[in-house]
Order: sequence, then C-alpha cells, then structure tokens
Amino acid sequence: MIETKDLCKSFDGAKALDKVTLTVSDGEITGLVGTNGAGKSTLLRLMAGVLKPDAGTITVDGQPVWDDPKAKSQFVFVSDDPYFFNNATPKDMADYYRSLYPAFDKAQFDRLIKAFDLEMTRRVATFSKGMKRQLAILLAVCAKTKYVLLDETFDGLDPVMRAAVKSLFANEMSERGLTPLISSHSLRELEDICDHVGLLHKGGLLLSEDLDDMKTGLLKLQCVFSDENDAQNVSKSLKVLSDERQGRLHVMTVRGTREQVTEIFSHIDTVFFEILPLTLEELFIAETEGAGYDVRKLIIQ
Amino acid sequence: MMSENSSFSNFVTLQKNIFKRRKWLIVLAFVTFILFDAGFLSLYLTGLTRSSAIDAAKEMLGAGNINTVIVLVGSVLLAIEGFHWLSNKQKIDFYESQPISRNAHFVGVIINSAVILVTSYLTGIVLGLIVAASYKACTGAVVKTAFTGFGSNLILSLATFSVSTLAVMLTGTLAVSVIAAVVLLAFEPAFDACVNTCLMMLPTYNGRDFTTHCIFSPVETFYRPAWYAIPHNLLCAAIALVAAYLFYRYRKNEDAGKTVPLKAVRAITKAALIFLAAIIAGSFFEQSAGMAGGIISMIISALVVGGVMEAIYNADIRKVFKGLGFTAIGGVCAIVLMVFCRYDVVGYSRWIPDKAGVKSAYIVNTSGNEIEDTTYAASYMKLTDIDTVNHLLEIGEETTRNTPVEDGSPANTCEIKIYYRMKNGKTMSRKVYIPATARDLMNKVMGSEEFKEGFFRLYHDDDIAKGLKRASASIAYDNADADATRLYANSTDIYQSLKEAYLKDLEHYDFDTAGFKMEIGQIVLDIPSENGEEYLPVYASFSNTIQFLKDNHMYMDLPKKEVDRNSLYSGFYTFPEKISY
Repeated sequence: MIETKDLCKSFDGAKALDKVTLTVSDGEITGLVGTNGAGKSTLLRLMAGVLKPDAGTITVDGQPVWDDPKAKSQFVFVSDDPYFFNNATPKDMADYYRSLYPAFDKAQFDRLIKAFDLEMTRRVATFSKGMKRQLAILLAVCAKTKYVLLDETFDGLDPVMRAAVKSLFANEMSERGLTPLISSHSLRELEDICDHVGLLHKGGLLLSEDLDDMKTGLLKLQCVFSDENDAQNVSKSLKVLSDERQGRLHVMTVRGTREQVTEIFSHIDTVFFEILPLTLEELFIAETEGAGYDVRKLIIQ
Repeated sequence: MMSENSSFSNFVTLQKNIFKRRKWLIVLAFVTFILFDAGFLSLYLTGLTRSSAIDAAKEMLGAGNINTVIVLVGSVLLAIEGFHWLSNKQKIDFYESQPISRNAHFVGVIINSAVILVTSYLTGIVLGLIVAASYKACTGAVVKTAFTGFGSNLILSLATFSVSTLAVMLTGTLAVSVIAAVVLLAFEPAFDACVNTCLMMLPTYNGRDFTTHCIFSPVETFYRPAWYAIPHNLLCAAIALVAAYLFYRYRKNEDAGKTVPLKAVRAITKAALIFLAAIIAGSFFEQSAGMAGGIISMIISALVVGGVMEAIYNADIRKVFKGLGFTAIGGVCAIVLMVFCRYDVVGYSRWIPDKAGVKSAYIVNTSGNEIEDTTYAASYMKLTDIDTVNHLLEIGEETTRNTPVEDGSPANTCEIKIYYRMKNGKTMSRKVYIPATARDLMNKVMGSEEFKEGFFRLYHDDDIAKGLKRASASIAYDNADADATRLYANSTDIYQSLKEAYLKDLEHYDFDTAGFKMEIGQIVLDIPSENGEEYLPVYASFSNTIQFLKDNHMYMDLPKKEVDRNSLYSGFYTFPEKISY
C-alpha cells in the first residue's frame, strides 16, 4: 500500500500540493485526475522518491520512500516524458532494467515487444512518442515490481494500444497483484479502468473514492411523467442532485439505491422510466458540484 | 555476509551501468592519452640522439605538459558528464526513481571517473615508455619522471574533478555547469591578480603584503613546489568534494533546469564577478582616461556584467535589470577599493614601523634577479640598524609619493624593496625610490657586513662550491668585449683564492662603489646547478680581485669600444648620471 499523509510541496513559494492524504490500495487501479497544474505529476514524483516533500509523509508498504532503495525497488515510475539512453535500443533498456530489478521477465518482454509491434534492435530515438510510451510501460510491467506509477502515460496512446495496455494490466493484476497508479488530465481516459479515483485541484485532493462506492449511492434515471407534478414528489422522496429537462424528458441524478428508486417510481405514473449506468464523468459532476466546484471545467475535455 | 555480498554486487552492477553510459568518454580518454603519450612521442623522438630522446621523453611523459592539460580537461569533462543528469528533469525522473541511493550515485560516479582516468592515463604512459624503449630512451630517470608526473597529475585531477563537481552541484544546466567550473577554477588567481593590480596604485605597494596566496586554485597550486602543491591540492580536493556532497544532499531535484538554483550562490557569484569585471575595466581605463573615466568604466562594466548574469540566471534577456542591488554591491566594492588605492586613503605609503616591533630588516634591489636575490637576502641579510633603515624608508616614501605613478621611475633614483621582519612573526615590505641624496644612509647600509652577507653569495657559498666541483663548471672573466676571447679556468683549483681576494675587496664595498662606479668586468661562475651562472661585479678599486685575475691569466683590459663598455652596466644600485670608473 502506498500512503501519503498531509503531503505538502511548494515550488518557489507556489504551493503545488497542500496537505494531500491519499491511499493507494494493493491490487486496485488508482487513477489521479486533475487539470494541468493540479499537482498530479508532483504527487507522482513525490511518491516515486524523485522529489522530497516539504512536509508530510509518503510510505510504500510502510517504508518512507525518499532516498530508500528498498522502498523504490517496489515500483517503477514512468514519467510523462520517459527517458531512454542515447542510441539505446529496447534490448539495451531491457538489459538496464534487468540489472536494476532482479525479477525482470526478459521472456515476457520479448513476447510483448513483438505483440506491441515494436522492434527490439531499433534505436529508441527513432520511435514515435506513442511507441516510446508503450516501451516505457512494457519495461515497467516486465520489471515485476508491485507498483507502477504512470504519469499521463495513457494520454499519448491510441485507443487500440490503450486497450492492449489495459488488458496487460488486468492480466498482471490477476496473476501477481500488480497495483498501477495512473494519472491523467482526462476523466474519460480512466473511465473504464480505475477502481479508485482521486481528484486533484490546485494542489488539494478534492475527492478520493472507490468507484463502486460512488456508483452504489448514485443513480441516473430518465423518465417522462404523466403528470409533471410528480417530479416534485420525487424530489421530496429522493435527493435529486441534478434534473435536466429536454421537453418532457427528465434526466435525473439521484442519491439512493436501485431498490429505493424502483420502489418510489412504482407508485408514480410514468410514460417512460429507465435507470441508466453513470459515467465516471457524471459521478464526479454529482460528487463535486455539491462542494461548489464545476468539475466540467476542471477535468472533462 | 549476505548484506556485504549484496552491497558489493550492487556496486559492481552500478559501475557496469555507468561504464555502459560512458562508452564514448572511455574511448575518448584512451585515444587521447595513447595518441599523445605514445603516438606523438614516437614522432617526437624520431631522429633525435639518445640523450635528446631521453630529455624529450621526460618532457612528454612528465608533469606540467600535455598530460597535465589532458588531465585538466578530462577531469572537468568527467565531473560534468558524470553528474549531468542532475540538470535534466527527464533524467532526474529516470535516475532518482530507481532503487539506487543518492550516496551510491555520488560515490559511483566519482569511482567510475577515477577508474577511467587512471586506466587511460596509465595505458598512455606504459605505451609511451614502450615507445621510448624502442628509441633506447627508457631510462630509470624517464620512468621516474613519468610516474612522478602521473602522481602529481592525478592529484591535480582529483582537485579539478572535485571543484568541477562542486560547480555542477551549484548549477542547474549543463552549459552553466561548464561556465561555473571555469569560474571556480580560475576565480582565485583572477581575484588575486585583480586586487593586486588595484593595490599597485598605492605608491609604495610591494605586491606582497595583500597578496592572497591561492589555496583553492588547483592549477595555480600545481606549479608550486611539490611539498606545497600536493597537500594543498589534496586539501582543496577534500574541501570541494565535501562541499559538493553537501550541496548534492541539499540540492532539490526540482531545481534541474534552473541555471543557478541557490539564491545565495547567485548573489555571491554575481557580486564577485561584477567586482572583478569592474576592477579590470577600472584599471584599464584609469590609466588612459583618469580616475573619472575609470569610475565610469567600472559602473558600465558592472551594469553590463550584472545584466548578462541576470539574463543567464533567468534565461531571459528581459531580466537584465533584475537584482540591481547586488550589481551595486559588486560595483561599489570595486570603486571603493580603487579609490582607496589611488588616493591612498589610509596613508599606507606613510607607514614607518615602530623600531621596538622590528626584529631585523633586509633590502633588495629590483634591478637584478629579484626572486633569487629576495630569497637569498631573506635568508642571510639581517640588518639590525633599524633607525637607519627607517630613515631610508622615510626618504624613499617621500620620493615615491611625490612621483606620480604614470611618470615612471623618478630620475636619479634607484628602486629598492625594504622588508621588515616584525617581532610578531609577520614580514612587512615597501617598495620605494631612493634618491642620490640619500648617499650617506645607503653607504651606511650597504657598507655594513650585515648587508654584504645577504647580497653576495660568496658569503654562503655551499651551493656554489659544490657546483664548481662538477666537470662542466668553470670560472671566466668577462669584460664585455665582443671581440675578446674569454679565458676559462679550472674551477675547483682557483675558487678559494678567488673567494679570498673578492671578500677582501668587498671590505671596501659600499653604495659609492655600487651606485656611482662603473664595472670594469664581471667574473662568471658557470655552475651546473639550479642557479646557473653567478656574476661577481669587478670594479677598478677591487685590487685583490684584479691581481687574482692577472695571476691566473684571466684579466683583460677594458674594451676599446664604448658600446661594449657600457654593456657591463648591471644596474645594481646605480645612478647612470654620475657613473665613473
């Protein structure tokens, strides 16, 4: 488990992170979302032991991470602009990673390089940005560390590659309990992959919740009432977080369980009624609007 | 045991990885040393006689030549390349997130650099010695010279590497690291030279009292005697390396990319460089445009250098007017120093020591071999008549003060340096012009046994006597007649009789002789030693010496041509206007 507690970091007097407390649970994919400058990269660089916190603590499995090789051997950090040695090929980089991470799986790396259609002996410098990111992810996965920290790594991948990487993570999670921590400036990038999401804004953590918990208490429904007055009756029975109307069609986000909602609507005469799945975006909108934030401006692009 | 094995294994792995990254540097180091120590040596030795080849091999493989330059440049390169990742965010993210401690990184780069330099240099030397051997020039002396040079060059390299590492730690970009390394390596001698240039404006400044001897300049120290150079460069290396390590620990990784991350370092460097630039500009323009021109040039140079530095610091040309406070500090300090020196604000040139605080004194004339004369006088001249020396200084200071610097030496004077050995252990000195009117005082000083003992080396002649025993040593008489044949005598047989005769004549030697009489010739002691030739002036009044020369068939009359006769004028305490034989 990676834990940060009251983490603070400033750059030339400007606060980049302000008392951030976050837990990355083992075996889950945790997403960090926020706009540019929200503090995602800073948080990841602090977690990776690249930066030293001004205040607060960061531990990896209970061990402080700063300048501690043992704690750092638990993860690989893939920055938003991964570095490769001059003139190095994927093979050279694999050799280097193997020297640092004894459990590095060379055979798997060879397989994945082929699967991702990368050339083992071609100079990395000639790779496209997306190919470099793929290579960085493959190196990180094959290092067989418990955690991988990925800073906006998905943002440069095409949909096919993104799906392939997600599938790779899913396998690694089920086989050996890999715990990825992924940052992105777009909620949609993380929509179908994360178990837990933290929302960073201006150096503070606005929200950090399991998606299942969020989904359990929030429902999206659309309906057409026979009598428009029934809309008010619903408001009295359920906490309606939003109610958008298109003609007579209501699209409502409400707090409550599926059973509660079904029970209430069974007593109301509707022309049309349907419960829909909530997107991550809608979950965040619902959760943060109450706190006075317009999350659309923060993270949705 | 497990832990030790693991640590060693990690160390080996780290070294392997660093070596892989520095392949180009390793190739460069080996090629350079082999090229110069073996390749060029081979070309150099071709066609030389064996003795010349031995000398050439010594020169090429020893310290203070091309190997020293390679070692210097190589050390700077190794330090900057070794820690270059600290100035790049992408590389910082890569390296600092890996399971390697910061200490291991630091030590790893140092050891790796040492291994590259030592192995490549050693390879060059060994191949060089093999080349020398093929020319039959690989004697024990050559091997000794090569390995002594190897040792002293490595110590120089260690100091240079440490200073360059410190430069990297104080800066945040590669280009500025290089500039900082040059600044740190050259700053102390540059500062010393600039301050001395300024102090030279003080009329009686001798260039010694305020001279800050370079301690942290490996290159300047390298050329001093080994007993000084080795401990100083080791100390310099230790201090710079400890400082570099502390800055490395203190340094924030987010500072990568900033030219000079630490505000204090920015400010100090800026003020110091502005100070230097202003002094250089002021000294230059003060001579041609007077003090006002000098000050204006100092202000302009301070603004220009300050602006350039701010533009570099901020990587933004629009920031040239930032931090004017430190520009003012550097500039004002320089102007104050220059005004202080130019107008002698504290009365430096009126100083006369309290007799009670002086142990003894010695005087050196600036016309001869000043370094040798000063060293000899410092050892053997102990003038105890301080009242007379003080009186001489008083007259000299007045004469010197009243002579504007730009006018050069005042007429009818001779320049001397008076050194006081103070009872508190310090040595104070002044450089003054002595007028001909101080003849009585000078006679009193130069006529004394104390003066002669510290002026003529025949009084303490162990080196001369030893050197004259060598086969190639000789004694000759030179009357400066270009057409005359010099007569050489076997040195060992006649030296004692020469010494007896000359010392007898010196009993009557004083300022009247030295300052107002023309030499009729010189006895040349050609000694194969460090001092080389030793000249003993012969005056017409030196009857015992002249008799010695005649007895040994060495004497020659004065040359017929006036130009030859005048060439004998040595300038020691002489007043050309009043010279006669």
